[in-house]
Amino acid sequence: MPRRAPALALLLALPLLAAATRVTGEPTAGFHGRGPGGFSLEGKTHQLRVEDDGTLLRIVVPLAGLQTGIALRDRHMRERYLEVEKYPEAALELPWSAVKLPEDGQTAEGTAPGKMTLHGKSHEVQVKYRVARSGSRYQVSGTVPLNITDYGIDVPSYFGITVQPDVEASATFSAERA
Amino acid sequence: MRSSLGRRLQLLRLGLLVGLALPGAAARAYPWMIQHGYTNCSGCHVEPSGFGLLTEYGRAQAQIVLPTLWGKIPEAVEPTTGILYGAVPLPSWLNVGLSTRGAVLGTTTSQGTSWRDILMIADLRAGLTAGPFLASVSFGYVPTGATLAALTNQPHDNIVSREHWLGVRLADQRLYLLGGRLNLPFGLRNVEHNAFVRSATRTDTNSAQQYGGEVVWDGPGVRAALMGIAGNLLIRDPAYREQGYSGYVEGAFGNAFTLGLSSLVTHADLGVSSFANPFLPVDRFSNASDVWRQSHGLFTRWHVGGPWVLLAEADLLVETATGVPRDLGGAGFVQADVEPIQGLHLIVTGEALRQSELNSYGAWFSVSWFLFTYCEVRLDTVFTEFGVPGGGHEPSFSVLGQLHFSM
Repeated sequence: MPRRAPALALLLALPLLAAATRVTGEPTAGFHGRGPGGFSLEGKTHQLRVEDDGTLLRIVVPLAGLQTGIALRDRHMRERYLEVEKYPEAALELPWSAVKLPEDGQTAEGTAPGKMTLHGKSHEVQVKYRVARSGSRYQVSGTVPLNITDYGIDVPSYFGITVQPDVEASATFSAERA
Repeated sequence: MRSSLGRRLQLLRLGLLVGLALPGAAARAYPWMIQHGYTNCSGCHVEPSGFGLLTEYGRAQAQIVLPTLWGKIPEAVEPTTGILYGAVPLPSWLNVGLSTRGAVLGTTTSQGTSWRDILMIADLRAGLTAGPFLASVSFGYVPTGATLAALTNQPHDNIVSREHWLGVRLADQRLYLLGGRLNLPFGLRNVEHNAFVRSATRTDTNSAQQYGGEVVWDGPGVRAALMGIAGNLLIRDPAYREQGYSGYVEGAFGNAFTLGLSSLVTHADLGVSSFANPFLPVDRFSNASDVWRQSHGLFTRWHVGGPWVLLAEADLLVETATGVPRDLGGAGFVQADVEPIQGLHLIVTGEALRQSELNSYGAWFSVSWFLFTYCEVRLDTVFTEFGVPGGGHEPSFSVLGQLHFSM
C-alpha cells in the first residue's frame, strides 16, 4: 500500500493537469493603484474567463466592464489610458508546470512566472497565487505587480492627482476541473 | 404655575442654547465619501484630515459625484477647474472656496415652540501651495454663534476665522507638519457639528478649532494625526484656554471599511461651559479651576455596499476639576446614509450622551439633497430626550432647514 501511494498521486495529478477548467460563481478581477499621500484607487470587474489547454492556463479579463466607482473616471480609464476599443482584454498566461496544486482539502501558495498581456504589450511577470481545493473545486486568488508604463499606458493624472505607475492587478475566482 | 414672562424667558434661553448648539452642518466634510472608495481626505481637501477648502481634485469631485445630474450621463460630466461654475479660473497653486449656509430652525419643547433664522456660514477660504509649503485661511461673518472663532469681540455680528495655518508636506505628500489654528484631529469629521460626539468632545468644525502644531501621516491604508494644543488664542482670558493634545489613528481595510482610535486630553486653569445638554442648569465645570478634560474613543466608516454607508463613533468622556466630583460619561453616534439617486441622501442617526450623570438620547432623520452643482438643501428633524436633574427627560423636537452654497 505505501509503495502504491506515489503512483496513485501521480495518477490523480495527471488528469488534473490535462483537464479543462471552468469558472464557477462570480469571479472578480481588478487593480489597486495609489496616488500621492494616502490616495488609492481600485478598479473591479466581474468578467473573467479561463482558457486551459492542459499545459497553459490563460486568465482573460475583458476590460470594458472595469469600474472604479466613479463613472467619469471609468470613461477616462477606458478611453484615455487602457484604450479598450483597441485593446479590449488583459490576459495572464501561466504554465501549469509552474503552478503547485494542492491535495484535496489543502491550500497551496506560491509564486509562479507568467506572461501578462495588456494594452497590446506582453511582459514576463511573477504571479503570487493561492489555491484552496475541495474535491474538484478550486478557489483561486492571485496578484501581479506591474508598471503600467511598461505596457505603454500613460500615467493617469487628473486635476492635480497623479496615480503612481506601479499598480497591483488581482483576480479571484472559483473553478471546477472535470 | 410659572408666569408668562418666566416661561418666555425660559423658552428664549432654551432657544438660544439649542440654537447655538444646533446650527447644523458647518461646512463640507462628508465621511460618507467612502462610498466612492475614498478612505483618505487629502485628495479632495487642503487640510489632510478633511473639511473645508477643496483642492482642484476636490472641486472636480464636487461636480462629478455630489450633485444630482438631472438626466446627464455621469460619465459625460466634464468638471471645470475654476470656481463660480468655472467663471473664475484658478492656477494650480491657489485654491479658493466660498461657502454660505442659511437655515431656519424650529424648536419645540414642553414650554412651546420657537423659530429663528440663522446665517450659519458666510466664509471665504483660500489656500496656497508653493512646492512643499502650504497655507490656508478662512474668513467669515456670522451674526450669532461661533464666538470661539471670532476675531472681533462683539456679542453679535462677528468676523470669524475658523482656521488659519501654515504647513509643509513631505514624503510624497504623506507627511504633513502644520501649525496655526486647526480643526482638532478627533473622531469622525462629520457635518453635524452639534451631534453629541462633536459637542461633548468639543471637536466640531464650527468653532472648536485650537491653535497648535500638528503632525499628520496620510499614508496608504493608515492615516493619523497628532496635534499639540496650545489653546484657543481667540479666547481673551488665557485662564480658559486649553492645552494638551488631540489625535487619531485610522486604518483602512480595503477601500470600504475603516476603523479609528481617537484620544484627547486637555487642561485649562478655568473651565468653560459645554452646550451638549442645554437642560443642565449648572455646568459644574464652568469656572471650576484646574480642569482636565479627556475623550477617548473609536470610530468607523463602512461602505456597506451599493448606496449604503454606516458611520459610527463611541467616546469615553472624563472631566475632573479641583473640588468637583469627577464626571465619567460618554457619547455615541451611529448614522446610516443611503443615496438612492445621486445627490439625494436619506440619513438616519441615533445618538446618546451621558454627561453630569444625565443620560440623553437623540434620533435624527435628515434629507440632504445636492440639487445642483455646489447647491445643497437639507432638512433635519431631530428628536432628543435630554436628561434633566432629578430624573426624567425633557423632550425636544427640532426642525432645521438649510440652504447651502459652497464652491
